[in-house]
Amino acid sequence: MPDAHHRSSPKLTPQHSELLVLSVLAEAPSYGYAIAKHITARSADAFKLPPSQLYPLMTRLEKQGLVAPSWEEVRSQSRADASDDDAPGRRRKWYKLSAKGRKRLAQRVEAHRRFTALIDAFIPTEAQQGAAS
Amino acid sequence: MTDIHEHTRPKLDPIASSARDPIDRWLDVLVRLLRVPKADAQRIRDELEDHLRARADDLMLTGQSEPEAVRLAVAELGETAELARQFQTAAKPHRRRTMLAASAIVSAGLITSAVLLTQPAAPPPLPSGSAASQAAAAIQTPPEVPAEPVIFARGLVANDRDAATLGDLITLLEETTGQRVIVPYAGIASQGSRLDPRMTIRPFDFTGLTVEQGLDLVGTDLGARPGDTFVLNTTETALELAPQSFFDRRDAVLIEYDIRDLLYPPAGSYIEPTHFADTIVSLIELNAWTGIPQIAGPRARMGVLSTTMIVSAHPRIHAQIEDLFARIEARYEQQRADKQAKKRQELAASIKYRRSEVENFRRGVTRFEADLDLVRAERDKARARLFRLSHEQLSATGDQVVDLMVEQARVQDEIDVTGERLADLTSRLARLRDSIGQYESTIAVNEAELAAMPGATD
Repeated sequence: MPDAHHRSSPKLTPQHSELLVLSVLAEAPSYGYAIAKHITARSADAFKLPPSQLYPLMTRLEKQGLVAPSWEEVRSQSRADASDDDAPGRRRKWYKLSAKGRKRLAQRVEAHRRFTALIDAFIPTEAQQGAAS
Repeated sequence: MTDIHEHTRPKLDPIASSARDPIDRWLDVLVRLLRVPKADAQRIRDELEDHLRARADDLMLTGQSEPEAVRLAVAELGETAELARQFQTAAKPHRRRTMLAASAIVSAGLITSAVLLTQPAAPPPLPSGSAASQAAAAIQTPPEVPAEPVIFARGLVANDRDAATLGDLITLLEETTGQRVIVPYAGIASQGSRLDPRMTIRPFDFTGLTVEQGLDLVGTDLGARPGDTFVLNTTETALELAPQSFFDRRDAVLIEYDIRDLLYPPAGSYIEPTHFADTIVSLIELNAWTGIPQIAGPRARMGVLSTTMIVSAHPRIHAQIEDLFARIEARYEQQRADKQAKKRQELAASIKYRRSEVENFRRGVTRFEADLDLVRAERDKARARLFRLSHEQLSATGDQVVDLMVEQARVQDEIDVTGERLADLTSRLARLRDSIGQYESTIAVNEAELAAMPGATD
């Protein structure tokens, strides 16, 4: 079953993670947990961006000015005092793609396309593959 | 009774209750492990709390009990200490293992520009032996930095320098900058690869070479010369790693500079255009203007036609020329201002002197006029006496006549002398008045000049 082997979730390189996160944010502003869920869902569970990678990555993107954060007050069900309206909610950090981030995304996409095009140039076509076997 | 007791028991305040929450306890531990500024730690804490609670909410939706959902959510985050370490390295501009540059300064410039690596100070074809490896591969602050933002990476960690391959370095650069690194290395063709030389990339070409060997090879191939620096050049899609001289030649642009105004320093004499150009060249990257026979031509070229200086060079060098010209112009401007200030001073001094002279002249005129009146009175007195003498002569006799004639002659002499004195005084007066007129017109001219000068206040 070679297929099963291929499906065992491929590891994302830092560059790929960045490309995915920037792409998600290009669609709409989002927050950490939602970004991770989005990536998992879109890739049919193939790509997983665990919190231990996602949040450090977001910190770096923010430091580089590629994303702009903003905070929002939210409420939770999992808290013992959630039913109390006076209790302080928690803060949610939203990320928005900055102009710089948009530019970086364009560069990443372009670099990715060029890279895959280069790799493709080496791969035998189906006809060649057929002839070989 | 117990029911009432339950009801009246004071409600736990939110802080006390949250302190007992496993999520809060876990976050407390994490924050203690984080070695980042307090405000940053709080933000990380808030963000992770949001994640954990959102995740726990989701897990509860799938039927987990709340304590179990919280436990799972925390467990998914992995080992606390490891996570803290990840945040730490992410918060720092440069993450990297043993190989590079703990001291690397990467700021907002991550998107931009150049990492400068020193090229071995020995001639390019040197094998990567001792001499080369000493100076090589240390990433240094550049001597001259273009105005654009720049990344400087400094110093490979000495111990690992020999072990680090150029492939490692390029991987590192790609990871830190988030862009692909291309080495425009043509020599790869001679190694049997059929790749387009301009597209030659890591890693398979450079993984086997130490940084020194790799840079030697690339430097030799691209006509680097001793003292050349390796630079990262930003293009739209990637970073190019090559000696500065390579980019200097490839990206040279031609600009004509009109140097007419620069040839006439306000405080000095005319400068020969060729002499001027020589001076400029000697002030800007002297090595750029000379080539190495049979290896590479000069990185920058310059010619002078009349009062136009034509330069073909990298924009970086043009920027330096423009900066130098601006400084020369500023200096000329200063000289012009100094000269004007001096002129103003001179004019003011001259006006003051002439005014005081005119005063003196006027005093002289007054004195001469008084003298003139005096002498005229003397003359009139002498004339009256002469008239009286000639009248007395009519009624005189014998010796008296002779005495009178002698007296007449003496008075006539007196009249003649006073006449001369009068003429002398009159001409002196005329000359004085002349001088006053001249001085006053000069003062008027000077004052007009002074008023017409820019910045004249007094």
